[in-house]
Amino acid sequence: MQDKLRWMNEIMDEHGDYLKRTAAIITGETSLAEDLVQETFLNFYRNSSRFRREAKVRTYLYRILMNNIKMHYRKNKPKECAFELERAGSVSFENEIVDVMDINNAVSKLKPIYRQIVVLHYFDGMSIDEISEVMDIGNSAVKMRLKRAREQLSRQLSEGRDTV
Amino acid sequence: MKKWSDSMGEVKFESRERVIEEIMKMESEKPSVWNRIRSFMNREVEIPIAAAASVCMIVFVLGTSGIDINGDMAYSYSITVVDQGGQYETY
Repeated sequence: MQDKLRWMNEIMDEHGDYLKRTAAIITGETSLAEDLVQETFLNFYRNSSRFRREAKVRTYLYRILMNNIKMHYRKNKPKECAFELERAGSVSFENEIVDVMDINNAVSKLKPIYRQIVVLHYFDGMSIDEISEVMDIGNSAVKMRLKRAREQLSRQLSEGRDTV
Repeated sequence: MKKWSDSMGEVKFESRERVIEEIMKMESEKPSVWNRIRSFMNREVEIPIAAAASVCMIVFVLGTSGIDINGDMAYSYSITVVDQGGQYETY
């Protein structure tokens, strides 16, 4: 039992913060992100006997988190609220320099399925293959969703620029 | 130029203790081996056991009723008649 707890503590140490960051940027709410990540670790522990040791813990945890987010959105309507940033400023996004607030607002307006993929790809730096594994969908579906998400994002970002 | 992920500042996962508490609760509520066997028996073996018990009951009833498998009477009855002179005869 003590070994299991130590193992779980190590896993939470290593993966807790970035999972919460990802959940926060997708949901726009830090407290919800905390709950979702907590549930992710509990699900991971419950299913740890089924976890293949050769599989990456990171991918497995992301997969559980994405499922939890999906389940959450099934019960609750997604909110259009951007994560409140501590650091504002400009960042590079798709070879463009964009205001962080603008990009967060634009992402928060995307449908959840697009929002998840955009965050995984641009925020967490995942490859198409990794996203495909995490979301449990084919590579072509990932590419298609990413393309549509990009189109929506650029539309929203350009609308934002026009209104300024 | 900063990346998007750098813009977020420090985000800490703070519910580690709660996860550990939940895990300990889960572990303490896990049923014992005997209870697991019993619940398995209740769930998976209830019908076969009921069927087997019914068959045993039928065999028992047939056995005690004195009818053997061929349908003949398994028990024999005898009557002993004793006359006044102390002679007796068994039929």
